[in-house]
Amino acid sequence: MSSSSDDYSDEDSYILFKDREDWRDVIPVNPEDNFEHEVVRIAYSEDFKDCFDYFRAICEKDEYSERALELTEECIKRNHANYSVWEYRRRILKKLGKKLEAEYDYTQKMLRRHIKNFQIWHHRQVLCEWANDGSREKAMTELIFKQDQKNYHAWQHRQWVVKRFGLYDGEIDFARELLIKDVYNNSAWNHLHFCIQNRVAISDRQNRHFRIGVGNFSDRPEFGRQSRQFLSAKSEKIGESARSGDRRNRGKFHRFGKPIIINSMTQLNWSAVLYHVQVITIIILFGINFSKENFWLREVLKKTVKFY
Amino acid sequence: MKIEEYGIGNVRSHVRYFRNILNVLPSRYSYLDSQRLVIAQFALGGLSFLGAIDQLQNKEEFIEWIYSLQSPHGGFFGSKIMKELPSHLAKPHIASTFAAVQCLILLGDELDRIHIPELLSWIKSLMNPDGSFQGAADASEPTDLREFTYCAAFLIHIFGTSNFSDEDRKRAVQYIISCQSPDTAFGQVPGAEGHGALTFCALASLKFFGCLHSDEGVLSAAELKRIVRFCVNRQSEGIHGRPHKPDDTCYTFWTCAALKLAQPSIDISEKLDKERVLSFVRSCVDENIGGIKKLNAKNQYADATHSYFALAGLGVIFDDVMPEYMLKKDLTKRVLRIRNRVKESKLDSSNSLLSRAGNLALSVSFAILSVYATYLLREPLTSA
Repeated sequence: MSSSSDDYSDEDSYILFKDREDWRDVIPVNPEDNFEHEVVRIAYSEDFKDCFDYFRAICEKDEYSERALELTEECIKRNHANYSVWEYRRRILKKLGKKLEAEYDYTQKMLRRHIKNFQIWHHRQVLCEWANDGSREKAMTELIFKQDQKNYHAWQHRQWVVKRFGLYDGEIDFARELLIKDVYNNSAWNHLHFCIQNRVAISDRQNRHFRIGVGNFSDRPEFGRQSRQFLSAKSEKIGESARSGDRRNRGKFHRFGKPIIINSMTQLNWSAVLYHVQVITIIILFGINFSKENFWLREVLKKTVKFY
Repeated sequence: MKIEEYGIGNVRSHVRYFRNILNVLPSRYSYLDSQRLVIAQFALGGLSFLGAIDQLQNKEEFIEWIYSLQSPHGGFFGSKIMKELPSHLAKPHIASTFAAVQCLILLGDELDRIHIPELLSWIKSLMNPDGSFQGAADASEPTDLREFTYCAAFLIHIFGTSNFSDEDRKRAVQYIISCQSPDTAFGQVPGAEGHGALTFCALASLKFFGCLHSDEGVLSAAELKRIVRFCVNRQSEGIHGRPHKPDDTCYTFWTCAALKLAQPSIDISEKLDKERVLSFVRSCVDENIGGIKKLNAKNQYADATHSYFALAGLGVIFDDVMPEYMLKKDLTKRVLRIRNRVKESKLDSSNSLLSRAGNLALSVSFAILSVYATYLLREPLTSA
């Protein structure tokens, strides 16, 4: 949880939306504070309240315009985790049919400031889906890795891009280089495994190195030496076969251990049972009515009544 | 073991820290606005671990505030700002819903004002075909986060499985298993790096779905042993979440709880050095304002997340906290009572107006026909 900087409110040139000429037609919506006993109150600043009052107004008007886009940007500055604002921003971008270049730059700027924010990473992923293009993402994640080598979101995004757009080329070498710099970079080991698993034939012995080496045994003193040997010798071969397009046994992600066995479990739904009992009883009663003439049914009923 | 005996600084300053959070936060925390309910959960949970929740004077007001954030269509919003939007944009969030239920349990509420059928059908609507859960409807939030699976599993466990068939359960479990990484810990999505927090979410979800240490268990004994080893290896001084990452107080909970879930009979002091964990957490206490920091660094301040999880983690280590519920063991009875009440009142069965009307019509017709049958059978059948 990083604390947000206050630099937006330091800008002397910032004008509240209520004071802007081009926003005169919009009436801000301030929900009534009918609840005096709010918990975890936040002492919202005036500009925060101003932004979100106008955001509510714009949403109610269903306005998708350039000025609405600017408004979402101001709202995001004050609360970058508000997923409704990000959602509305995506709707505006779609409606306006804007080119996404500027949006890519904007998200990159936001990501460098808030590298652990889920909403911004998700937004970036959606942009890639819309554009059906992941070509910028490797460079963008590398920028983030300069700040934080093991940033979980960046590695996850990179894996998503590589898998979604088939951009496996160069990934094994990229992971290897990171590992040669820091052999204990668990994220890079995982990425190496991910790329190899999805691309090339891998023997059980090689797979076992990944499976038992990282996470469980990287604390052993010999891990560093053995891993460096592995990286320099074996992975060259792996890299070669990847480059030569060896697609035999391209593995799906598989579990290590017994396959999943889930027995079917029947859960008795008593209200359903009652329903069926009622229906069957109604049918029987109808049957009784129409079968008064039926000799055999009468005989059965005689015996049943006698029995009881 | 009493909280005072943990030796994590002045307990009263921590209590004061959490009570301040429940009161007002400065404007620089505006970025927490969309998740105020979650922060409330951390504060109330922290007070519960410190044994100070009964000192709160205005529990009813807190409960009213929480219910005011409930959506009539199921789920809870994180704050009023998230709720007061047009209906096409106002989307309740599963993490906020989880936090709301936790807060209500901590405050002693009976959860009888929760719209259970709507809640369950909303959770079902968040489920993706691959078994994962979205955070909010229509993919407003990322859909791959595994914490959302844990929140959904917890809510289904408490409120019943009427909307959640066996097929759904299998899909959810299949997705959880597909997130297992090569080192047998669990990642955020299939292929992601094994992570302590996500391992906890996976194990707790499997437990709620009945697939951990049961006849339908999906993890072999060998895998569980490797998970235990993964968790144990996460201690250097304090505890971290991934190999060769710096220690972080919140992983005291995630990793220890995962360890406890993987092997419930374990005595954690045999596997981890309790004293070193305690001394790390002690070094991260914020002497000025109370609370616990993420790291022992001068430029760090205490925050609600790390304070809550550090206390929860110490509770797990000293066997005071139920790991899968994130609640103290004293509250087990309360949780069980609520679950039983929901089951008995059959509120979890499909209770929509249509089925209620249908059931009523069927019962009335059954009564009429029973009377008619008695009339039909009034003559002894033996008469010719």
